[in-house]
Amino acid sequence: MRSLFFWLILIVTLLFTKNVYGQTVEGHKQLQQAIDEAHAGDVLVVKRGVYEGPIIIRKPIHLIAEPGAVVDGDGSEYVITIRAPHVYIEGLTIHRSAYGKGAGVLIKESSHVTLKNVHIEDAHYGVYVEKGMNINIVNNIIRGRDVHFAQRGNGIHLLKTKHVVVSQNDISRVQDGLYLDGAEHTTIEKNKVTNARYAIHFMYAEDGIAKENVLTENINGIMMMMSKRFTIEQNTIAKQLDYRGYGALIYDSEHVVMHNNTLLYNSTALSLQNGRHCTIKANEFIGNYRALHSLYENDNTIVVENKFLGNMEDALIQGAPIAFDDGEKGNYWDTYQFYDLNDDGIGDAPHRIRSMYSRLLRQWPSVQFYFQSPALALLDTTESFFTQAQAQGEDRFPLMEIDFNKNETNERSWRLLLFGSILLVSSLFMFVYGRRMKYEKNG
Amino acid sequence: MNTAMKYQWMMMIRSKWLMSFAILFAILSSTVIASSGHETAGVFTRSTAALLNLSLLLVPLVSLLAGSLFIAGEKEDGRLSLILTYPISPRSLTFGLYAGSCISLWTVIAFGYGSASVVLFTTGGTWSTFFFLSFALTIALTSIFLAIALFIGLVASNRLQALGVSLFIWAFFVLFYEFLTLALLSLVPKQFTILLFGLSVICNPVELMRVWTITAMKSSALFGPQLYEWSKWAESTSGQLSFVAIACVWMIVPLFLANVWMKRGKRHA
Repeated sequence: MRSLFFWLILIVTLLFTKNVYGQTVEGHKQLQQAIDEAHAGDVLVVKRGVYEGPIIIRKPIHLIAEPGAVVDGDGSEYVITIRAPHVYIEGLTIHRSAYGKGAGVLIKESSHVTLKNVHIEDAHYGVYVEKGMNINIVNNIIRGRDVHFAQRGNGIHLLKTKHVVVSQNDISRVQDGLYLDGAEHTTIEKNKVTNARYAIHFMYAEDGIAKENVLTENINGIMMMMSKRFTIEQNTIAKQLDYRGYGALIYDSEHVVMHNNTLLYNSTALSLQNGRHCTIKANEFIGNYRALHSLYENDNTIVVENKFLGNMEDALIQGAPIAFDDGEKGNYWDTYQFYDLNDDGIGDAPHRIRSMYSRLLRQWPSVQFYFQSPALALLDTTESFFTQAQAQGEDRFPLMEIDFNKNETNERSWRLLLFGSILLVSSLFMFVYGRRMKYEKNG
Repeated sequence: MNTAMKYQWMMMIRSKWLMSFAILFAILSSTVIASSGHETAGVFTRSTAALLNLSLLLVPLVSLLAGSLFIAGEKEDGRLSLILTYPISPRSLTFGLYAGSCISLWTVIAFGYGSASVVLFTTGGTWSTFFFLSFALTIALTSIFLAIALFIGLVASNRLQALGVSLFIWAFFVLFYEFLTLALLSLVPKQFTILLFGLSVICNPVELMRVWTITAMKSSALFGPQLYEWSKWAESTSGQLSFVAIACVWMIVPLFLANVWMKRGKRHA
């Protein structure tokens, strides 16, 4: 009994130890001073209130902010600078870095740093990591300034980093949502990026994965340059509608695997320019102005098992031809018009990717104005029946069926039914009324 | 005006020809939308283009034929001259006939769009503002071509002439026009490209509706980099208002001319 009592006291003491050691910082006490006075490994609880920045952290420390705790940079270059390992910051709101330079948080030459539930607003860069290792940037909200792209900084900037995890962040109004420059072994998952120049910009990035991100309404969704060994999977890349823009642009990169992504309503969904050993597999290209664009040579690049649905133009191949099948399976094309008599799920004739329209377009770029207009659509259709326009590429094993592994719920749209019913009922009424109406002479 | 409107409405809605077209239009639009309606969103896609093209091809044709043939028929059979002897002003008659044709054709269009929406609903499609927009603009397109048809019908001396002129005008606006513009484009210097496109949109109601739909859906990135500035303007409020104004001109001018012709007829009657 006595020993049980002893253990109970010990447990209770341990439970409260954190608070005993964890100092509470309140408005009257400056945050910087509290950090300077704390010991390595301390937990500081930051109470509600506005604290003056800039803050520099040079020792391993935990800052746990209560809601409403704000660090105000007041135009200083970096609002919070972390130059120590094992720093953990949670729940803080950080705002007002300098204009045209600086960042909300600078993590420099540190390792094992975590930023969680941090809200960064009105900063040039959001989080700037330079030569960091094992950094976790999780569930933060980053909002840049509402100025032109050229005057904005990046949301999360990784410069020469290793093993960084960027997850579940919500980023908008920035130049590039995520910028990876010489970053190795990076994991980017479940982030949302909108209203940026490039949502994710890879530059000399090696080894990593970008998974389940939602990239919408940027100029480019993914911009990958001079990078290697990246897997891009299950992302939703939608509405990059700017005429200069791409859902994803892979330039001069190698061993990039893009699979199971959904590319919806982009001006050009995917452009491959000098890619080497790239695999584009099982993605959905839906409703894009142009689904696939290939420029220069894309060696050993394969496009297979993708679904091309409702795109204005399926592919524009301007460089060397690329493989649209792996010798057994090709892609699903909604423009494919042939049969599968032996019922093996593969069309009996190869699918030749061509369009009169794209040929005209190369001669006269202004023809774009008549994209899918009645006359040109008619010309395109007629031409596909009667002449052998030069094919852009050939899929020897076009898939006949697709199963939508849709994550979107196929909910019925009652508004559609309402609209349809109103029109139907009123038109029927007008029919009946008109037919039963009696014409009285002279009014 | 009320009498003339009722008369025209009654005559047109009782026509088997228009009924057949209503059914055809409903079947076609339902087929088009059911076969490509997987993806619907607030932007212009292939399925929306398909439905829009259906409207742009068929609606001017039917409006022109129905409108002009009915009026020319009335004229040929002498009924129009008879009506003109009644105490009814030419203006009331013109607008009455126009309103009557509009109601009949709008009914047909509403039937087609209604059926297509219900079919899309049953196949699990989703709502898009495109339906409403496309419906509204098709109604506007009908109104424009009915005004033109009324004028053709009044000017033509018989049904055959009205048919010929209507078919020619339809083919010109819908089929030849774009190729003519493209041919012109290769002749004029580059700095006039935007001007030429602008003019081509103003001078053809079919083009007007096509470009209007695309810009109203904020999808003018479709027009490509060359027309970027112009597209931005066309998507703006002033751009959209300009479309409204041009559409109004396209409706009012033929109606005005038809009215002038009607007055002449009244004097001769």
